[in-house]
Amino acid sequence: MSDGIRAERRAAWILVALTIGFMVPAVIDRPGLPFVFGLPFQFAWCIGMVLVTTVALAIAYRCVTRAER
Amino acid sequence: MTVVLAIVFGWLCVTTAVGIAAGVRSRREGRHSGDDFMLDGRRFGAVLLYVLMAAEIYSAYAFLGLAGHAYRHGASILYAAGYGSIAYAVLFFFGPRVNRLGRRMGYMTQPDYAADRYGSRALGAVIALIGVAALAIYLQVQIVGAGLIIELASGGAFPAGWARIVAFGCVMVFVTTSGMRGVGWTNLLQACVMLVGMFAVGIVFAVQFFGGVGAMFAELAQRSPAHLTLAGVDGNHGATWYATRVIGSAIGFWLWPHIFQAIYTAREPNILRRNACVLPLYQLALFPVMIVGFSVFVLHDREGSLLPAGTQDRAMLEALVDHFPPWFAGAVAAGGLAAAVSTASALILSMATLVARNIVGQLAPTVPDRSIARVAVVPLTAAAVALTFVLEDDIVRLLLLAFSVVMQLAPAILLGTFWLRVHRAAVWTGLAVAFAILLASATGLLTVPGSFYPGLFALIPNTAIVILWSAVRRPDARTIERFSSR
Repeated sequence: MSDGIRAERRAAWILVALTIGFMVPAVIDRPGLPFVFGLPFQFAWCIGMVLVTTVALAIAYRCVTRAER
Repeated sequence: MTVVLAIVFGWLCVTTAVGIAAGVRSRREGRHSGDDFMLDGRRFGAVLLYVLMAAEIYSAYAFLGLAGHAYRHGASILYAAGYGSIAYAVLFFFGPRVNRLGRRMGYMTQPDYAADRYGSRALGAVIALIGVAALAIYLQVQIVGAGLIIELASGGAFPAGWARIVAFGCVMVFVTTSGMRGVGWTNLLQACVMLVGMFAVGIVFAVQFFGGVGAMFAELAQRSPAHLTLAGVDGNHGATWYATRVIGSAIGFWLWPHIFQAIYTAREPNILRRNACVLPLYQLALFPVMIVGFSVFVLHDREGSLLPAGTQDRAMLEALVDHFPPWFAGAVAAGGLAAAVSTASALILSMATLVARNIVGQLAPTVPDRSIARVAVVPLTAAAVALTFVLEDDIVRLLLLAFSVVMQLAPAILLGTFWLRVHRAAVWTGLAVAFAILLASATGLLTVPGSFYPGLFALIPNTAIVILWSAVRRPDARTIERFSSR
Protein backbone atom coordinates (compact mmCIF):
# COMPACT_ATOMS: atom_id res chain seq x y z
CA MET A 1 0.00 0.00 0.00
CA SER A 2 1.44 3.39 -0.99
CA ASP A 3 1.99 6.25 1.48
CA GLY A 4 -0.68 8.28 -0.33
CA ILE A 5 -3.35 5.62 0.19
CA ARG A 6 -2.35 5.18 3.81
CA ALA A 7 -2.56 8.93 4.44
CA GLU A 8 -5.93 9.06 2.68
CA ARG A 9 -7.26 6.22 4.86
CA ARG A 10 -6.17 8.04 8.01
CA ALA A 11 -7.80 11.23 6.73
CA ALA A 12 -11.06 9.35 6.15
CA TRP A 13 -11.68 9.56 9.93
CA ILE A 14 -12.68 13.16 9.19
CA LEU A 15 -15.92 11.79 7.76
CA VAL A 16 -16.74 10.02 11.02
CA ALA A 17 -15.81 13.06 13.11
CA LEU A 18 -17.90 15.43 10.98
CA THR A 19 -20.92 13.13 11.04
CA ILE A 20 -20.75 12.93 14.84
CA GLY A 21 -20.18 16.70 15.06
CA PHE A 22 -23.26 17.52 13.00
CA MET A 23 -25.37 15.17 15.14
CA VAL A 24 -24.70 17.29 18.24
CA PRO A 25 -27.65 19.67 17.63
CA ALA A 26 -29.96 16.65 17.53
CA VAL A 27 -28.54 15.06 20.67
CA ILE A 28 -28.48 18.10 22.96
CA ASP A 29 -31.66 19.68 21.58
CA ARG A 30 -33.98 21.11 24.25
CA PRO A 31 -35.90 24.38 24.81
CA GLY A 32 -33.99 27.27 26.31
CA LEU A 33 -30.51 26.45 25.02
CA PRO A 34 -28.03 29.30 25.61
CA PHE A 35 -27.35 31.95 22.99
CA VAL A 36 -23.79 32.18 21.64
CA PHE A 37 -22.82 35.43 19.88
CA GLY A 38 -26.53 36.25 19.78
CA LEU A 39 -27.31 33.00 17.96
CA PRO A 40 -29.12 29.98 19.39
CA PHE A 41 -26.58 27.32 20.35
CA GLN A 42 -27.39 24.92 17.49
CA PHE A 43 -26.81 27.68 14.90
CA ALA A 44 -23.49 28.72 16.41
CA TRP A 45 -22.46 25.06 16.62
CA CYS A 46 -23.28 24.36 12.97
CA ILE A 47 -21.47 27.50 11.77
CA GLY A 48 -18.45 26.36 13.79
CA MET A 49 -18.68 22.87 12.29
CA VAL A 50 -18.68 24.30 8.75
CA LEU A 51 -15.45 26.15 9.55
CA VAL A 52 -13.98 23.02 11.17
CA THR A 53 -14.77 21.09 7.95
CA THR A 54 -12.71 23.49 5.88
CA VAL A 55 -9.77 23.47 8.28
CA ALA A 56 -9.80 19.66 8.67
CA LEU A 57 -9.92 19.09 4.91
CA ALA A 58 -7.13 21.61 4.34
CA ILE A 59 -4.93 19.71 6.82
CA ALA A 60 -5.87 16.40 5.17
CA TYR A 61 -4.99 17.89 1.75
CA ARG A 62 -1.56 18.83 2.99
CA CYS A 63 -0.91 15.41 4.51
CA VAL A 64 -2.21 13.40 1.54
CA THR A 65 -0.43 15.41 -1.16
CA ARG A 66 2.81 15.34 0.85
CA ALA A 67 2.53 11.56 1.28
CA GLU A 68 1.83 11.13 -2.44
CA ARG A 69 4.97 13.08 -3.35
CA MET B 1 -42.65 46.62 -9.59
CA THR B 2 -41.32 47.74 -12.98
CA VAL B 3 -37.83 48.34 -11.56
CA VAL B 4 -37.72 44.92 -9.84
CA LEU B 5 -38.94 43.16 -12.97
CA ALA B 6 -36.50 45.11 -15.19
CA ILE B 7 -33.56 44.02 -12.99
CA VAL B 8 -34.71 40.38 -12.99
CA PHE B 9 -35.28 40.19 -16.76
CA GLY B 10 -32.12 42.22 -17.42
CA TRP B 11 -30.19 39.60 -15.49
CA LEU B 12 -31.85 36.79 -17.44
CA CYS B 13 -30.83 38.47 -20.72
CA VAL B 14 -27.21 38.92 -19.54
CA THR B 15 -27.06 35.25 -18.52
CA THR B 16 -28.43 34.08 -21.86
CA ALA B 17 -26.04 36.32 -23.80
CA VAL B 18 -23.00 35.07 -21.83
CA GLY B 19 -24.12 31.46 -22.29
CA ILE B 20 -24.48 31.88 -26.06
CA ALA B 21 -21.19 33.82 -26.37
CA ALA B 22 -19.35 30.99 -24.58
CA GLY B 23 -20.66 28.54 -27.18
CA VAL B 24 -19.76 30.80 -30.11
CA ARG B 25 -16.21 31.15 -28.79
CA SER B 26 -15.95 27.40 -28.32
CA ARG B 27 -16.99 26.85 -31.95
CA ARG B 28 -14.43 29.40 -33.19
CA GLU B 29 -11.77 27.45 -31.34
CA GLY B 30 -12.84 24.37 -33.32
CA ARG B 31 -14.22 22.44 -30.34
CA HIS B 32 -16.93 20.24 -31.80
CA SER B 33 -16.60 16.87 -30.08
CA GLY B 34 -19.04 15.26 -27.65
CA ASP B 35 -16.38 15.67 -24.95
CA ASP B 36 -16.37 19.43 -25.61
CA PHE B 37 -20.17 19.75 -25.54
CA MET B 38 -20.75 17.60 -22.45
CA LEU B 39 -17.57 18.22 -20.40
CA ASP B 40 -15.93 21.25 -22.07
CA GLY B 41 -12.99 19.03 -22.98
CA ARG B 42 -12.25 18.20 -19.28
CA ARG B 43 -10.37 21.50 -18.97
CA PHE B 44 -11.96 23.22 -15.97
CA GLY B 45 -9.45 24.72 -13.55
CA ALA B 46 -9.96 25.36 -9.83
CA VAL B 47 -11.96 28.61 -10.13
CA LEU B 48 -14.33 27.58 -12.92
CA LEU B 49 -14.91 24.19 -11.29
CA TYR B 50 -15.59 25.86 -7.93
CA VAL B 51 -18.26 28.16 -9.35
CA LEU B 52 -19.69 25.37 -11.53
CA MET B 53 -20.14 23.15 -8.48
CA ALA B 54 -21.32 25.96 -6.21
CA ALA B 55 -23.89 27.17 -8.72
CA GLU B 56 -25.06 23.61 -9.43
CA ILE B 57 -25.35 22.73 -5.75
CA TYR B 58 -26.95 25.94 -4.42
CA SER B 59 -30.23 26.13 -6.26
CA ALA B 60 -33.68 27.70 -5.87
CA TYR B 61 -33.91 25.47 -2.83
CA ALA B 62 -31.06 27.38 -1.15
CA PHE B 63 -32.86 30.65 -1.80
CA LEU B 64 -36.56 29.95 -1.33
CA GLY B 65 -36.75 26.48 0.20
CA LEU B 66 -34.43 27.15 3.14
CA ALA B 67 -36.21 30.36 4.14
CA GLY B 68 -39.59 28.67 3.63
CA HIS B 69 -38.66 25.64 5.75
CA ALA B 70 -37.24 27.85 8.56
CA TYR B 71 -40.44 29.93 8.45
CA ARG B 72 -42.78 26.94 8.62
CA HIS B 73 -40.90 24.26 10.59
CA GLY B 74 -38.01 25.90 12.45
CA ALA B 75 -34.57 24.69 13.53
CA SER B 76 -34.64 21.38 11.62
CA ILE B 77 -33.48 23.37 8.58
CA LEU B 78 -29.98 23.11 10.06
CA TYR B 79 -29.83 19.69 8.40
CA ALA B 80 -28.86 21.58 5.21
CA ALA B 81 -25.67 22.87 6.83
CA GLY B 82 -24.80 19.38 8.04
CA TYR B 83 -25.27 17.26 4.96
CA GLY B 84 -23.50 19.67 2.62
CA SER B 85 -20.39 19.88 4.78
CA ILE B 86 -20.14 16.10 5.20
CA ALA B 87 -20.64 15.70 1.44
CA TYR B 88 -17.64 17.95 0.70
CA ALA B 89 -15.51 15.65 2.84
CA VAL B 90 -16.80 12.74 0.73
CA LEU B 91 -15.71 14.64 -2.41
CA PHE B 92 -12.16 14.82 -1.02
CA PHE B 93 -11.85 11.03 -1.26
CA PHE B 94 -14.34 10.15 -3.97
CA GLY B 95 -13.74 12.96 -6.51
CA PRO B 96 -10.10 12.27 -7.46
CA ARG B 97 -10.79 8.55 -8.08
CA VAL B 98 -13.82 9.26 -10.24
CA ASN B 99 -11.97 11.94 -12.21
CA ARG B 100 -8.92 9.71 -12.76
CA LEU B 101 -11.04 6.78 -13.94
CA GLY B 102 -13.10 9.04 -16.22
CA ARG B 103 -10.02 10.46 -17.87
CA ARG B 104 -8.41 7.02 -18.29
CA MET B 105 -11.50 5.19 -19.55
CA GLY B 106 -13.24 8.06 -21.38
CA TYR B 107 -16.37 8.14 -19.22
CA MET B 108 -18.66 11.13 -19.54
CA THR B 109 -21.54 10.09 -17.33
CA GLN B 110 -22.25 8.10 -14.19
CA PRO B 111 -23.90 5.23 -16.17
CA ASP B 112 -20.80 5.07 -18.44
CA TYR B 113 -18.82 4.24 -15.33
CA ALA B 114 -21.42 1.82 -13.91
CA ALA B 115 -21.80 -0.03 -17.24
CA ASP B 116 -18.05 -0.55 -17.50
CA ARG B 117 -17.44 -1.25 -13.81
CA TYR B 118 -20.10 -3.97 -13.70
CA GLY B 119 -19.79 -5.12 -17.33
CA SER B 120 -23.48 -4.49 -18.03
CA ARG B 121 -24.87 -1.97 -20.48
CA ALA B 122 -28.36 -2.79 -19.23
CA LEU B 123 -27.35 -1.73 -15.72
CA GLY B 124 -25.92 1.47 -17.22
CA ALA B 125 -29.22 2.18 -18.99
CA VAL B 126 -31.24 1.54 -15.80
CA ILE B 127 -28.96 3.84 -13.80
CA ALA B 128 -29.39 6.45 -16.54
CA LEU B 129 -33.19 6.14 -16.24
CA ILE B 130 -32.99 6.49 -12.46
CA GLY B 131 -30.79 9.55 -12.96
CA VAL B 132 -33.18 11.14 -15.45
CA ALA B 133 -36.12 10.52 -13.09
CA ALA B 134 -34.31 12.11 -10.13
CA LEU B 135 -33.12 15.04 -12.24
CA ALA B 136 -36.65 15.59 -13.57
CA ILE B 137 -37.96 15.95 -9.99
CA TYR B 138 -35.08 18.24 -9.04
CA LEU B 139 -35.68 20.32 -12.16
CA GLN B 140 -39.24 20.90 -10.92
CA VAL B 141 -37.75 22.66 -7.89
CA GLN B 142 -35.85 25.06 -10.13
CA ILE B 143 -38.69 25.74 -12.55
CA VAL B 144 -41.25 26.31 -9.79
CA GLY B 145 -38.70 28.50 -7.95
CA ALA B 146 -37.88 30.62 -11.02
CA GLY B 147 -41.58 31.12 -11.80
CA LEU B 148 -42.30 32.11 -8.21
CA ILE B 149 -39.44 34.62 -8.13
CA ILE B 150 -40.57 36.40 -11.29
CA GLU B 151 -44.23 36.36 -10.27
CA LEU B 152 -43.49 37.82 -6.84
CA ALA B 153 -40.98 40.32 -8.22
CA SER B 154 -43.70 41.61 -10.57
CA GLY B 155 -46.22 41.81 -7.72
CA GLY B 156 -48.32 39.15 -9.44
CA ALA B 157 -48.51 41.07 -12.74
CA PHE B 158 -46.40 38.43 -14.53
CA PRO B 159 -48.02 35.03 -13.83
CA ALA B 160 -45.74 32.21 -12.66
CA GLY B 161 -46.76 29.98 -15.59
CA TRP B 162 -45.54 32.47 -18.21
CA ALA B 163 -42.48 33.25 -16.13
CA ARG B 164 -41.48 29.56 -16.19
CA ILE B 165 -41.87 29.43 -19.97
CA VAL B 166 -39.82 32.60 -20.60
CA ALA B 167 -37.02 31.73 -18.13
CA PHE B 168 -36.61 28.17 -19.35
CA GLY B 169 -36.88 29.20 -22.98
CA CYS B 170 -33.70 31.22 -22.35
CA VAL B 171 -32.00 28.32 -20.54
CA MET B 172 -32.89 25.98 -23.39
CA VAL B 173 -31.31 28.35 -25.93
CA PHE B 174 -27.93 28.68 -24.23
CA VAL B 175 -27.66 25.01 -23.20
CA THR B 176 -28.40 23.88 -26.78
CA THR B 177 -25.93 26.38 -28.22
CA SER B 178 -23.07 26.02 -25.79
CA GLY B 179 -23.30 22.84 -23.70
CA MET B 180 -21.00 22.62 -20.67
CA ARG B 181 -18.97 25.69 -21.71
CA GLY B 182 -22.13 27.82 -21.54
CA VAL B 183 -23.19 26.27 -18.24
CA GLY B 184 -19.73 26.92 -16.74
CA TRP B 185 -19.49 30.57 -17.79
CA THR B 186 -23.06 31.47 -16.83
CA ASN B 187 -22.48 29.74 -13.47
CA LEU B 188 -19.49 32.01 -12.89
CA LEU B 189 -21.88 34.98 -13.02
CA GLN B 190 -24.63 33.22 -11.12
CA ALA B 191 -22.42 32.07 -8.23
CA CYS B 192 -21.26 35.66 -7.55
CA VAL B 193 -24.77 37.16 -7.71
CA MET B 194 -26.18 34.37 -5.55
CA LEU B 195 -23.54 34.81 -2.89
CA VAL B 196 -24.05 38.59 -2.67
CA GLY B 197 -27.84 38.15 -2.64
CA MET B 198 -27.81 35.49 0.10
CA PHE B 199 -25.54 37.42 2.48
CA ALA B 200 -27.14 40.83 1.81
CA VAL B 201 -30.68 39.65 2.40
CA GLY B 202 -29.82 37.83 5.65
CA ILE B 203 -28.12 40.77 7.28
CA VAL B 204 -30.46 43.51 6.01
CA PHE B 205 -33.68 41.80 7.14
CA ALA B 206 -32.61 41.24 10.73
CA VAL B 207 -31.06 44.73 11.08
CA GLN B 208 -34.00 46.57 9.44
CA PHE B 209 -36.75 45.02 11.55
CA PHE B 210 -35.08 43.93 14.80
CA GLY B 211 -31.85 45.91 15.11
CA GLY B 212 -29.75 42.74 14.76
CA VAL B 213 -29.74 38.96 14.49
CA GLY B 214 -29.53 38.40 18.26
CA ALA B 215 -32.56 40.60 18.93
CA MET B 216 -34.53 38.75 16.25
CA PHE B 217 -33.75 35.36 17.79
CA ALA B 218 -34.62 36.70 21.27
CA GLU B 219 -38.04 37.80 20.02
CA LEU B 220 -38.51 34.48 18.21
CA ALA B 221 -37.71 32.60 21.45
CA GLN B 222 -40.54 34.54 23.12
CA ARG B 223 -43.10 34.32 20.34
CA SER B 224 -42.52 30.76 19.15
CA PRO B 225 -39.93 28.78 21.14
CA ALA B 226 -40.84 25.67 19.12
CA HIS B 227 -39.06 27.29 16.15
CA LEU B 228 -35.76 26.95 18.01
CA THR B 229 -35.98 23.26 18.88
CA LEU B 230 -35.79 20.29 16.58
CA ALA B 231 -39.24 18.86 16.91
CA GLY B 232 -40.29 22.14 15.32
CA VAL B 233 -43.65 23.84 15.14
CA ASP B 234 -45.60 20.76 14.05
CA GLY B 235 -43.60 18.34 16.23
CA ASN B 236 -42.69 16.15 13.23
CA HIS B 237 -39.16 17.41 12.63
CA GLY B 238 -37.32 15.89 15.57
CA ALA B 239 -33.93 14.27 16.06
CA THR B 240 -34.74 11.28 13.79
CA TRP B 241 -35.91 13.57 10.99
CA TYR B 242 -32.75 15.67 11.30
CA ALA B 243 -30.23 12.83 11.69
CA THR B 244 -31.61 10.66 8.87
CA ARG B 245 -31.80 13.63 6.46
CA VAL B 246 -28.22 14.69 7.25
CA ILE B 247 -26.84 11.18 6.70
CA GLY B 248 -29.08 10.28 3.75
CA SER B 249 -28.54 13.53 1.85
CA ALA B 250 -24.77 13.45 2.45
CA ILE B 251 -24.66 9.94 0.94
CA GLY B 252 -26.82 10.94 -2.02
CA PHE B 253 -25.02 14.22 -2.72
CA TRP B 254 -22.36 13.07 -5.22
CA LEU B 255 -24.69 10.56 -6.83
CA TRP B 256 -26.58 13.30 -8.62
CA PRO B 257 -25.71 12.72 -12.27
CA HIS B 258 -25.05 16.43 -12.95
CA ILE B 259 -22.67 16.80 -10.00
CA PHE B 260 -20.97 13.52 -10.91
CA GLN B 261 -20.55 14.85 -14.45
CA ALA B 262 -18.98 18.04 -13.05
CA ILE B 263 -16.27 15.85 -11.43
CA TYR B 264 -15.23 14.73 -14.93
CA THR B 265 -14.76 18.33 -16.10
CA ALA B 266 -11.80 18.90 -13.72
CA ARG B 267 -8.42 19.29 -15.43
CA GLU B 268 -6.70 17.13 -12.82
CA PRO B 269 -7.74 15.18 -9.69
CA ASN B 270 -6.02 17.43 -7.14
CA ILE B 271 -8.26 20.33 -8.18
CA LEU B 272 -11.16 18.36 -6.71
CA ARG B 273 -9.35 17.91 -3.41
CA ARG B 274 -8.61 21.64 -3.24
CA ASN B 275 -12.23 22.45 -4.05
CA ALA B 276 -13.41 20.04 -1.35
CA CYS B 277 -11.47 22.17 1.15
CA VAL B 278 -13.01 25.51 0.11
CA LEU B 279 -16.54 24.48 -0.94
CA PRO B 280 -17.73 24.23 2.71
CA LEU B 281 -17.22 28.01 3.01
CA TYR B 282 -20.12 28.47 0.58
CA GLN B 283 -22.26 26.72 3.22
CA LEU B 284 -21.93 29.84 5.36
CA ALA B 285 -24.21 31.62 2.87
CA LEU B 286 -27.06 29.29 3.88
CA PHE B 287 -27.27 30.73 7.40
CA PRO B 288 -28.35 34.27 6.37
CA VAL B 289 -31.16 32.76 4.28
CA MET B 290 -32.32 30.64 7.24
CA ILE B 291 -32.22 33.79 9.39
CA VAL B 292 -34.46 35.53 6.85
CA GLY B 293 -37.01 32.72 7.18
CA PHE B 294 -37.11 33.22 10.96
CA SER B 295 -37.15 37.04 10.64
CA VAL B 296 -40.13 36.99 8.28
CA PHE B 297 -41.95 34.59 10.58
CA VAL B 298 -41.51 36.95 13.56
CA LEU B 299 -42.53 39.91 11.39
CA HIS B 300 -45.69 38.14 10.19
CA ASP B 301 -46.46 36.95 13.72
CA ARG B 302 -46.22 40.56 14.95
CA GLU B 303 -48.53 41.73 12.18
CA GLY B 304 -50.86 38.74 12.59
CA SER B 305 -50.43 37.89 8.91
CA LEU B 306 -48.83 34.41 8.95
CA LEU B 307 -48.79 32.64 5.60
CA PRO B 308 -50.95 29.51 5.30
CA ALA B 309 -49.21 26.11 5.14
CA GLY B 310 -47.93 25.22 1.68
CA THR B 311 -47.14 28.82 0.70
CA GLN B 312 -44.09 29.27 2.92
CA ASP B 313 -41.67 29.35 -0.04
CA ARG B 314 -43.09 32.78 -0.91
CA ALA B 315 -42.24 34.20 2.53
CA MET B 316 -38.86 35.74 1.81
CA LEU B 317 -39.62 37.32 -1.55
CA GLU B 318 -43.02 38.68 -0.56
CA ALA B 319 -41.51 40.40 2.46
CA LEU B 320 -38.65 41.66 0.32
CA VAL B 321 -40.91 43.25 -2.29
CA ASP B 322 -43.25 44.70 0.39
CA HIS B 323 -40.64 46.24 2.68
CA PHE B 324 -37.51 47.13 0.69
CA PRO B 325 -36.61 49.57 -2.13
CA PRO B 326 -37.21 48.14 -5.63
CA TRP B 327 -33.51 48.09 -6.59
CA PHE B 328 -32.67 45.95 -3.54
CA ALA B 329 -35.62 43.61 -4.02
CA GLY B 330 -34.67 43.33 -7.72
CA ALA B 331 -31.04 42.50 -6.94
CA VAL B 332 -31.98 39.77 -4.45
CA ALA B 333 -34.65 38.38 -6.78
CA ALA B 334 -32.00 38.28 -9.54
CA GLY B 335 -29.80 36.30 -7.12
CA GLY B 336 -32.66 33.85 -6.57
CA LEU B 337 -33.27 33.54 -10.30
CA ALA B 338 -29.54 33.02 -10.81
CA ALA B 339 -29.64 30.15 -8.32
CA ALA B 340 -32.55 28.49 -10.10
CA VAL B 341 -31.27 29.02 -13.64
CA SER B 342 -27.67 27.94 -12.96
CA THR B 343 -28.71 24.65 -11.39
CA ALA B 344 -31.40 24.07 -14.00
CA SER B 345 -28.99 24.52 -16.92
CA ALA B 346 -26.68 21.84 -15.49
CA LEU B 347 -29.63 19.53 -14.83
CA ILE B 348 -30.92 19.89 -18.38
CA LEU B 349 -27.46 19.30 -19.87
CA SER B 350 -26.99 16.24 -17.67
CA MET B 351 -30.39 14.80 -18.61
CA ALA B 352 -29.62 15.33 -22.30
CA THR B 353 -26.20 13.69 -21.86
CA LEU B 354 -27.69 10.66 -20.12
CA VAL B 355 -30.30 10.27 -22.85
CA ALA B 356 -27.68 10.70 -25.59
CA ARG B 357 -24.97 8.44 -24.16
CA ASN B 358 -26.81 5.78 -22.22
CA ILE B 359 -30.37 5.49 -23.50
CA VAL B 360 -30.90 6.62 -27.14
CA GLY B 361 -27.17 6.31 -27.90
CA GLN B 362 -27.36 2.58 -27.12
CA LEU B 363 -30.10 2.16 -29.69
CA ALA B 364 -28.50 4.37 -32.36
CA PRO B 365 -24.72 4.00 -31.90
CA THR B 366 -23.86 5.58 -35.27
CA VAL B 367 -25.42 8.97 -34.45
CA PRO B 368 -22.95 11.27 -32.61
CA ASP B 369 -23.73 11.80 -28.91
CA ARG B 370 -23.38 15.54 -29.29
CA SER B 371 -26.16 15.69 -31.91
CA ILE B 372 -28.54 13.57 -29.82
CA ALA B 373 -27.78 15.62 -26.68
CA ARG B 374 -28.45 18.92 -28.48
CA VAL B 375 -31.74 17.71 -29.86
CA ALA B 376 -32.74 16.15 -26.52
CA VAL B 377 -32.37 19.47 -24.65
CA VAL B 378 -35.52 20.89 -26.29
CA PRO B 379 -38.10 18.15 -25.54
CA LEU B 380 -36.63 17.49 -22.07
CA THR B 381 -36.91 21.17 -21.07
CA ALA B 382 -40.39 21.48 -22.57
CA ALA B 383 -41.59 18.33 -20.80
CA ALA B 384 -40.13 19.49 -17.47
CA VAL B 385 -41.85 22.89 -17.71
CA ALA B 386 -45.12 21.21 -18.72
CA LEU B 387 -44.86 18.87 -15.72
CA THR B 388 -44.75 21.82 -13.29
CA PHE B 389 -48.30 22.72 -14.31
CA VAL B 390 -49.45 19.29 -13.11
CA LEU B 391 -47.14 18.55 -10.17
CA GLU B 392 -46.81 21.27 -7.52
CA ASP B 393 -45.32 20.75 -4.09
CA ASP B 394 -43.18 22.66 -1.65
CA ILE B 395 -39.51 22.93 -2.55
CA VAL B 396 -37.87 21.04 0.32
CA ARG B 397 -40.31 18.11 -0.05
CA LEU B 398 -39.55 17.84 -3.78
CA LEU B 399 -35.82 17.94 -3.13
CA LEU B 400 -35.98 15.23 -0.47
CA LEU B 401 -38.06 13.06 -2.80
CA ALA B 402 -35.45 13.35 -5.56
CA PHE B 403 -32.68 12.59 -3.04
CA SER B 404 -34.51 9.39 -2.03
CA VAL B 405 -34.35 8.18 -5.64
CA VAL B 406 -30.75 9.07 -6.42
CA MET B 407 -29.45 7.85 -3.04
CA GLN B 408 -30.19 4.25 -4.02
CA LEU B 409 -27.19 4.33 -6.36
CA ALA B 410 -24.80 4.58 -3.38
CA PRO B 411 -23.91 0.87 -3.14
CA ALA B 412 -23.22 0.64 -6.90
CA ILE B 413 -21.37 3.92 -7.37
CA LEU B 414 -19.98 5.07 -4.02
CA LEU B 415 -19.26 1.71 -2.38
CA GLY B 416 -18.34 0.10 -5.71
CA THR B 417 -15.60 2.69 -6.28
CA PHE B 418 -13.79 1.90 -3.04
CA TRP B 419 -14.65 -1.81 -2.63
CA LEU B 420 -13.97 -3.70 -5.82
CA ARG B 421 -15.75 -6.86 -4.66
CA VAL B 422 -19.15 -5.21 -5.21
CA HIS B 423 -20.85 -7.48 -7.72
CA ARG B 424 -23.32 -6.80 -10.54
CA ALA B 425 -25.97 -9.28 -9.38
CA ALA B 426 -25.86 -7.81 -5.87
CA VAL B 427 -26.36 -4.30 -7.29
CA TRP B 428 -29.37 -5.39 -9.38
CA THR B 429 -30.98 -7.09 -6.38
CA GLY B 430 -30.27 -4.19 -4.03
CA LEU B 431 -31.77 -1.69 -6.46
CA ALA B 432 -34.87 -3.83 -7.00
CA VAL B 433 -35.48 -4.14 -3.25
CA ALA B 434 -34.85 -0.42 -2.64
CA PHE B 435 -37.27 0.75 -5.33
CA ALA B 436 -39.89 -1.75 -4.17
CA ILE B 437 -39.63 -0.21 -0.68
CA LEU B 438 -39.77 3.36 -2.02
CA LEU B 439 -42.82 2.52 -4.13
CA ALA B 440 -44.55 0.77 -1.24
CA SER B 441 -43.92 3.72 1.08
CA ALA B 442 -45.07 6.23 -1.56
CA THR B 443 -48.32 4.34 -2.14
CA GLY B 444 -48.98 3.79 1.57
CA LEU B 445 -48.50 -0.01 1.48
CA LEU B 446 -45.54 0.35 3.84
CA THR B 447 -45.22 2.83 6.68
CA VAL B 448 -41.76 4.21 7.34
CA PRO B 449 -41.30 4.37 11.15
CA GLY B 450 -41.59 7.82 12.73
CA SER B 451 -40.02 10.59 10.72
CA PHE B 452 -37.26 8.34 9.32
CA TYR B 453 -36.12 9.44 5.85
CA PRO B 454 -37.77 7.02 3.35
CA GLY B 455 -34.71 7.19 1.07
CA LEU B 456 -32.38 6.10 3.87
CA PHE B 457 -34.92 3.50 5.01
CA ALA B 458 -34.73 1.89 1.54
CA LEU B 459 -30.96 2.34 1.34
CA ILE B 460 -30.29 0.21 4.45
CA PRO B 461 -31.53 -3.13 3.00
CA ASN B 462 -30.12 -2.12 -0.40
CA THR B 463 -26.62 -1.70 1.09
CA ALA B 464 -26.93 -4.78 3.31
CA ILE B 465 -27.80 -6.96 0.31
CA VAL B 466 -24.91 -5.59 -1.73
CA ILE B 467 -22.37 -6.04 1.08
CA LEU B 468 -23.45 -9.55 2.10
CA TRP B 469 -23.86 -10.85 -1.45
CA SER B 470 -20.56 -9.38 -2.64
CA ALA B 471 -18.68 -10.59 0.46
CA VAL B 472 -19.55 -14.24 -0.12
CA ARG B 473 -18.77 -14.22 -3.84
CA ARG B 474 -15.31 -14.68 -5.26
CA PRO B 475 -13.95 -11.26 -6.40
CA ASP B 476 -13.97 -10.64 -10.15
CA ALA B 477 -10.35 -10.68 -11.36
CA ARG B 478 -11.10 -8.45 -14.36
CA THR B 479 -12.62 -5.75 -12.18
CA ILE B 480 -9.76 -5.85 -9.68
CA GLU B 481 -7.23 -5.57 -12.49
CA ARG B 482 -8.94 -2.70 -14.33
CA PHE B 483 -10.06 -0.55 -11.42
CA SER B 484 -7.57 -1.12 -8.62
CA SER B 485 -4.73 1.09 -9.90
CA ARG B 486 -5.05 4.66 -8.62
